Amino acid sequence: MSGSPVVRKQSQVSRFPQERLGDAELVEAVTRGDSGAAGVVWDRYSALVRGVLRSNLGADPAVEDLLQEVFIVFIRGAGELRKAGALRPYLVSVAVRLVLVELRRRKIRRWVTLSPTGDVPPIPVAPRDLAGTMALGALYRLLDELPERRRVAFVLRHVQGFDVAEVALALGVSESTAKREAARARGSIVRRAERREPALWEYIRALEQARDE
Amino acid sequence: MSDARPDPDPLDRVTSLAREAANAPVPAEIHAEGRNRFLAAALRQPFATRPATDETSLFRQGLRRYALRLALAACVALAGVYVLSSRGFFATSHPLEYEVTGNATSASSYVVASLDSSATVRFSDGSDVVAVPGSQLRVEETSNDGARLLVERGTATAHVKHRARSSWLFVAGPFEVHVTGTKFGMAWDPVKEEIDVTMYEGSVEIDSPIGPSRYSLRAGHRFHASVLEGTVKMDGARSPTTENANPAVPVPVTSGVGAGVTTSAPADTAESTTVPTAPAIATQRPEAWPDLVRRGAFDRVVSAAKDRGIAACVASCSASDLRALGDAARYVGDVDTATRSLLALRSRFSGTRNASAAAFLLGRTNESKGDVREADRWYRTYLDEASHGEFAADALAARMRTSVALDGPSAGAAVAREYLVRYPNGVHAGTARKLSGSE
Repeated sequence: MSGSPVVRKQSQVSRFPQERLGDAELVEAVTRGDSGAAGVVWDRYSALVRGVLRSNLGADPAVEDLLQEVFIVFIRGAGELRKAGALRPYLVSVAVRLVLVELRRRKIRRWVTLSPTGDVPPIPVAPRDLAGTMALGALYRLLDELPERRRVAFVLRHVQGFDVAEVALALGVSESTAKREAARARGSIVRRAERREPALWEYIRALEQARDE
Repeated sequence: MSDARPDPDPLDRVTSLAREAANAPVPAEIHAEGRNRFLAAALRQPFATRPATDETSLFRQGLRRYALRLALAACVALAGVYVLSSRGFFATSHPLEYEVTGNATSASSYVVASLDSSATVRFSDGSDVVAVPGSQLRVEETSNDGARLLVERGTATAHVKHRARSSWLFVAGPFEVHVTGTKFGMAWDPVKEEIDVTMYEGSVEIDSPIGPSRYSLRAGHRFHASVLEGTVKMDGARSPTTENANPAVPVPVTSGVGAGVTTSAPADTAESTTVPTAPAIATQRPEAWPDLVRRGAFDRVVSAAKDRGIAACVASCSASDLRALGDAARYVGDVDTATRSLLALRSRFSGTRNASAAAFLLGRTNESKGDVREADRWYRTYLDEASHGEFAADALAARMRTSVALDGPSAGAAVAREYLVRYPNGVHAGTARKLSGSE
């Protein structure tokens, strides 16, 4: 058997872009101390976590600090993340824990009236229409009256659009509890809007009429 | 009335407005600044390591792919090694040789220094180990890159030549001192089960059964641990001029472990950390509190501390446990426990980085309970102690808030200007510019 030797062209070998790694591989890399992977985790999830924080706390200057704290907790605890899909719920649950602490902090502030900033800060970006802006302000005032866990359950479920399982995981409660808390919050908001927050009530009514027409 | 109650859908419209507002993307520079800040902080954190459990099989699919590549690469590497060795490339390599002078026994690997003179082991790479009078060493094995020595009793002073590849291990009881190139003294008392390591040059790492599994020591550090008492103590940071002060003064070991070490840290520069971690406690508490905090199990840390007694913990817990308890308590909103832990960290570990960090965290804790004046005092304390510390930017930002709350906008403006000078692109630069009137 004769034949010329096969000459293979040497292929270029380049590093697989970390941006395309799955969460599990990223976590694995972070546990090895790969700061590049940590950066990719930031790029991938900082917007989500910031959204969770801002939807719960408004445009508080503390949000950026809390965002940092969430990711530092992740760096410290990455070795414990054993499930492939655990990163997102883990970050959300840490964010929620910090939110609960921050909400308690604000409640104490209001009790002792040492700071004028005990109220919910304005929402981060105002919606385009004035009525919407006012309705949104009213919604957050009502949220501020709810127990922390109920409030967070509502925000995660109805503002962030998480499914019940995600809400339960983030709050460390059963799915039925998460569902019940979100529903109770919703009921409270609607009832109280009718009694005390005309801006929100009228806005809802107007939307309802527009839909019916 | 119930007829007038709106259908849930319109409320969803309001919540979608909230979602749009909350999830609106931040400017690229804010994202980048946050990313940089996180990565800088991450570099200061111990990256968590994955526990070796069967759970890692979740990554098996990906690992299998890499394992195949790794196996291929290993085959190529082995073939290369075979070719090189068959051509005599490694023919000149051989384990280090050594000779012993002053040995009281005839066995070359078992070195016993008599009570009135020291014994010296000289290695072929230029390294040497001096056993002070009354000490006993065993040269367990040598390799191309170093040796493994067992300090059975007494004090040894080692001067290990630094080379591109060197691997030296000094074993004393359950402790292992890993060395690449350095000069240090090491003492071991097998009766009291106490080790003492004093660094003169370079660095070593000590695997310890007490406290954190591995300690890093640099020139000027002194490490002392007692297995029986379950304590570790590290003294540090002597001035460079004293680092080489007569490192090999041989002192008999009859007065106890570490008796040969005559240098000590000046009080004004010493950083001393005592870590009481009795084995009994370790068995009661299988998972370390810092580890629990790292994985977000804050409640467990607080309840474990309460089971043990907060007062007892405040009096005897290690610095790392107090810090973990302080963090965990803050995260669950237990202000009292957080405050007590952090105050203990400051009083018992005064002068350490942990103590300074505690000042900042006390500021945070006091701010969270509404005591702005006390918060401001702690933030100032932190900045006085660690003006370039890990929380410096955050402490200045916090002081912007507390100053405004306490003394009005003009006071806040002064802090804001300081913030802008130090952190012109900081996360709070926008707020600082508004406050200082520069925007």
